Amino acid sequence: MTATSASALALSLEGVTKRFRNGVVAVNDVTLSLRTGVLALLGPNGAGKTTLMQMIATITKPTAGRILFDGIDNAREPDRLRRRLGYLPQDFGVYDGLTASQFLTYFAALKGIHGRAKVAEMLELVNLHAVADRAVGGFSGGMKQRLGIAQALINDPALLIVDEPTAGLDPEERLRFRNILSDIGFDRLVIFSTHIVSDIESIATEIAVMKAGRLITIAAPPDFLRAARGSVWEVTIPSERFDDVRKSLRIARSSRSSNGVLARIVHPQRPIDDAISVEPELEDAFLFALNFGSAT
Amino acid sequence: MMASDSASRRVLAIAATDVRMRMARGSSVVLLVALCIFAYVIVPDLSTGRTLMQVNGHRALYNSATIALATSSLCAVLLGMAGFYLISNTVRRDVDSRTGFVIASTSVKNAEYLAGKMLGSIAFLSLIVFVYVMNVMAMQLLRGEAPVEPLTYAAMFLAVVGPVIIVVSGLALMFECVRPLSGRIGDIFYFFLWTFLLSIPASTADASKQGMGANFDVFGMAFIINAAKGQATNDFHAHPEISIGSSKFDATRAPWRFEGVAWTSPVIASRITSALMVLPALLIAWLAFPRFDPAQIRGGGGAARTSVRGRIAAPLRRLLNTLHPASWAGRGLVRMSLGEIGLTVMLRPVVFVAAVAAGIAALVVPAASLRTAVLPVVFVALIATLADIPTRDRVARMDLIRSGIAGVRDLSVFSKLLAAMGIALAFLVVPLIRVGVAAPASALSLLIGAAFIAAASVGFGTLARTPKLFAGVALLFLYVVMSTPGAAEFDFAGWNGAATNGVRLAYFLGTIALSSLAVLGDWRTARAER
Repeated sequence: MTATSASALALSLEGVTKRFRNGVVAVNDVTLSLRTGVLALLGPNGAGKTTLMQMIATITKPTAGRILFDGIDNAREPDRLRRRLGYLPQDFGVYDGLTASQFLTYFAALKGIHGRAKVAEMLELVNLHAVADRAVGGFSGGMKQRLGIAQALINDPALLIVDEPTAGLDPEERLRFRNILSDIGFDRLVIFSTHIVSDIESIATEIAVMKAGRLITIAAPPDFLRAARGSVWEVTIPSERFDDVRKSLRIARSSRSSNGVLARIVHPQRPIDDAISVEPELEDAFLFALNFGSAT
Repeated sequence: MMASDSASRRVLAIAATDVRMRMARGSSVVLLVALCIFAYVIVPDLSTGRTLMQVNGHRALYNSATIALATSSLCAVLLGMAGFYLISNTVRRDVDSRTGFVIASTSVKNAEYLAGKMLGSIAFLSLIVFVYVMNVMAMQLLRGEAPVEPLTYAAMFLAVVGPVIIVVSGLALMFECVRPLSGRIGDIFYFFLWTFLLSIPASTADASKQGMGANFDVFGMAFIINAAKGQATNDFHAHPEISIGSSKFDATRAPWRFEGVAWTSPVIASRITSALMVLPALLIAWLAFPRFDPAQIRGGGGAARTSVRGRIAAPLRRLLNTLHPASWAGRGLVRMSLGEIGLTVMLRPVVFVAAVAAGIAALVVPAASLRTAVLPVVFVALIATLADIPTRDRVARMDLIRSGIAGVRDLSVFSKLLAAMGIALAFLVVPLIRVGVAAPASALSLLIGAAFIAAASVGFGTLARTPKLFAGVALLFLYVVMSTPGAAEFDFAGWNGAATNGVRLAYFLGTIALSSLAVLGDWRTARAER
């Protein structure tokens, strides 16, 4: 694949806001600056991840603020980004009547790529070469998703945006998918949204958390974890008290034992006298950012 | 040079993929088979005493000029109507599959995308017409009285049907791009637009009056009438009465030989200018195309509640909620049907208003207007309402969820049939009472007609898995009914006062056949699910 020079790539968002005509503010004053690597965009459903990604992908325009790609405003010259963009939307569908090969050839043509070699290479990459001539209508969800990532990669994009790509994939397919993204992220920018924290554990170079349209935090994984240090606790709670504790505190994980319930709690201060401070994991750090972080 | 080469490749890729996807559908194969049957029926065997075209009671000799003229005119009318519904989901498909978002994120220009879609629609409709022409020529080989002249066919179909293909493709694209026209309202609106465009030649058919009107003769009706009239007036030295379509002829009269169209410059120019009527439609499509922006497309998210319809529907929905339509559903066929009716009202509160308006109109208008004005409008509203019922579960991806509920799968199609008939009855209860008081037989016709349309909605919808087929066929059928007030065989709901007991029985049997079609379609789907 032709690599894009890392120094040539820069994406920055300046006070980006999207307000729909019904008054809903899906994205509120987001500012960030990105270079190569994998940005994991985390957030609960309705946080504004998809709308933010759609704005970066030039599908919808911000109602305020600017998105600059290599210093050029996307709103003015969207094609400049589009030529170097790969995009996989959420719930990506397919044209049932086409074969995998026809489907990819179509999107390749739309992106100005001609010839069968590239299509064959992409099918090989996503492990669909054996079913290249089968109608995609009969594909499993995972196969369709892999076809989706193949179309996103077919133009060797400098910027790859994938929206909840691992939803519906089996563990093996998820692993393969993560590896593909990780490889790509060495010399390009990948923006990857998910609410499954384990998906980003090994591949993210930066983690951003969104909540209610706002960017709560953006940091490299070590800094992201560091922010939650001293705020993650473990304590065994008697079973009869557990429901009360769960109502008042953020429980990251819990498991039943003969002594009661071993709970992992995310809280800025020691929540219960017996609680022991433990090293945070990404899931804990995400919960911490979501519940105790403030907008950047 | 490179850019234009790349652009043309993109346009061709979009067009080719569009055609490929359409051809991959089973319904396209059914359509092509239907065209073969249609060609067999449309060119009657002269030994049966029926002919394709007559002038002043003289049958036209079966040569290429005659058969091409008559079959192209019928093709133009049908394609103008059915063609729109066949191709008016090309942009929607990209929205539903979310591939549109990917297309929007590429450097494909809006004009390229629309040109590709337009070209794809033109190619698909042209393919249909090509198969039709081949079949008609085959019929001339079998039943004709002169050698087949392929060039005569090519010229005639190009002149008559060519502008129809172009304009209908452009209009379908425009309707998809203009948000208020992209739903069922657009389907209904197109029906009236089609009727209007078809009526233009009535005022321009007389060659002496042929002025600006000829340039708007999309369906080529004035062109065809003038082509035949020109020669017939000379041959018969009188005002010619021309009949096109299968009809009985007087075998004692000598056949009339149509020599073909005089391809003069004004004639060719009028056909070209008719085709150019597509330009405003394309301009509007280009200006209105939202490029899959979720803030602007139907079902895309934020904008939905701010539409004018949404603002009207909101208070209506609150009012209807006092009737608790969500709780009408339950176990068993009757409760399931009530649930379907409740769902219809919840999804489209305007249906309730339309049913009430139909009742009020039927009460206040004079008896004559009830049949000629109110009932046709009520049936158009009914078609718009019923079209979605059999397909909405699949569109909303609720079909499999419903199938997982005990007892629902087996009764689903029957509940939809019953619900469709219940809604039809709700629209027509007042007209039924009023007509029934004066003429009980007409009320029976109306009842059977309502059931016939309800069964057709579920039958076509279940089989084709799209509301478009039913909407198109039913509206075309209504047009035929309204255009032939004296024809008993088309008086399906008795509003023309021409229906006989035999006609009532035929439509009753038709209702059973269409209901069976629905059950068959559902069985086919259930088998595929297994």
